[in-house]
Amino acid sequence: MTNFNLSMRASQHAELLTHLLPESGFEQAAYLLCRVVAIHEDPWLRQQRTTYLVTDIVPIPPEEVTERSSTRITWRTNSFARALKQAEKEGKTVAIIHSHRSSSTAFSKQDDDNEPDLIQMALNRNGPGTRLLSLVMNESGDLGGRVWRQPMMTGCDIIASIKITGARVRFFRTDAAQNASRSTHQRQALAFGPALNRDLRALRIGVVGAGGTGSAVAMLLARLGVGKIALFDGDIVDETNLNRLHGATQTDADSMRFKVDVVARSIAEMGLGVKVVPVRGWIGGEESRDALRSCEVVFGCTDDHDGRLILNRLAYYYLIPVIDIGLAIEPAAEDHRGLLALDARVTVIEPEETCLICRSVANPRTASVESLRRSNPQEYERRKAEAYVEGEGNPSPAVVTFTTEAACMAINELIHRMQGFRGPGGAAANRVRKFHLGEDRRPGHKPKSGCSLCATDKLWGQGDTEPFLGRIG
Amino acid sequence: MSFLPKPDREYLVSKELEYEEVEDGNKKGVRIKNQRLPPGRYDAEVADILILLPPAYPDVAPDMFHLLPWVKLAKGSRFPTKAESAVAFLGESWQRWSRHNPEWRPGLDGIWTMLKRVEHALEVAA
Repeated sequence: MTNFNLSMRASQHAELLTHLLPESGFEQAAYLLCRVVAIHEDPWLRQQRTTYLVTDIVPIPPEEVTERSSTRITWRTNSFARALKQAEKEGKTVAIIHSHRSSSTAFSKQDDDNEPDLIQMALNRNGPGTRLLSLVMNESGDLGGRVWRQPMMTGCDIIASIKITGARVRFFRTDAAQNASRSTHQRQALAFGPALNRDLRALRIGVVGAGGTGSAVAMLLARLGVGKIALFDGDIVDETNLNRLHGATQTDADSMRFKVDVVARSIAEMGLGVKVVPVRGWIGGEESRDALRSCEVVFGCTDDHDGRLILNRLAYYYLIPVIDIGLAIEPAAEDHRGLLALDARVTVIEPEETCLICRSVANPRTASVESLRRSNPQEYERRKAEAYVEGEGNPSPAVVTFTTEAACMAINELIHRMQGFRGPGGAAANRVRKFHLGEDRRPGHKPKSGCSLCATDKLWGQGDTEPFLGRIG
Repeated sequence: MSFLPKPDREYLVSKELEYEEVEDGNKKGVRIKNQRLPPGRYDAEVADILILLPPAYPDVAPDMFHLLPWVKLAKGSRFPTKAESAVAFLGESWQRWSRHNPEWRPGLDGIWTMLKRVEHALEVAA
């Protein structure tokens, strides 16, 4: 069994709304081209997971439409052949999308009768193993979909969830818990309604870095009712972490437990039915890839610049919004009177927003030193001795109330994007809270001219590529 | 399995450069074969160039480059400055050219930038 999913950008969804729901009240259709994410083992379901990422929208030319009404659309298949040809060339899968001028996202008898011919045509054109997706958009813009099986097996599989990401993030799910009315989250439903609780229950979130901020993010997400959490960190608990690592004890430090195991244990002990997957290792390691690609949203809670560079790429390649958190505490002087900075930063990285490099948040030169230390410790020591690279600095200051507030800021950004409590325009792609000044700022940054990640859409939704994320390792 | 980013591969192919992706332990790089050196400057006319690529490449710069065979300046018959030490890679001893790269532009630069730098370093070496 494979679990099928699809993601698209909010601007693509908006384009489809305009095209598929014309004022004439007629049905309309288009093709989508999708790149593929093939996950060998989804860490929660323990089965294969395939996610399709929409890269292109190809409207059906008006001259090919032969019949059109509010209940029916038929068209010639010349453009389908062209879409198949492009898909084959670019390693993509074709999806057909059409509208139903009703509240239904279920497939009609007519859809069931016509589509087998199209999958046969796709197989004839692009060879064995070719997939065909079919999506329906209802009058409100909701989506449902299915994936046609190989010809040897009849029928098709339902697309379990469809994610629309942008300033608002929406999900159309068939896998959502129908009965999420546990009394544990009733008080939350009083604030935001039952839909948010259902959405959170079905949500898969990755937390990268299980330190001061990451442990707070993970524990709060569990309390909030998020159903599936993956934790990524290769570090063990150290005594100096105990001032801020939620859930950690001196025993954990003494027995040198992994931070991810400690946080996972604390979440399990809440008894809220959250499935937590601890991934013990660096985020760039191969062992992290399946879990990372299985996430729908990721929180970046790492100080590691090379780790940030990976998440920076992940957001654009995989259409996975990354909510990156940073904390900067700079005491003014040795006597600790006054502060130069006491800032928490929450940045949402995703297509159509500026990347972390162009925002000067991730520092490639620091990343370079970190990755040298990781991949080639002897060379790192040699260069340090030759003063080619700077050695590690002193440990940076950290205070639990501020790391935890940074975590709250980041999660509240996600709640807004899912539920909309701040109203239109409430999403902040970059927010800096200046604790010592008692104010929030929203510094804006433009993509640097020519940046391959954020200044053009070429890499958006490319999904699996060789090499992974277009990097060496 | 190719580990070179696609734009790098496309560039090398478009320039008809003869290259190999090479790997020694956890070090990865690209070996560009039979590159012409600036005429008259060195005691060799062609050499292979080895560029080691760090894991975070292309967000970060490659550091230094290497030549095989080792070359000396034709004038004075000595190794160029900061090109005197050896780096072992896949059982061969390469001439390491210590040239650093503070000007890397993540998101824009790639193997084409590095090859321009190599070309420049070979032109100006003394």
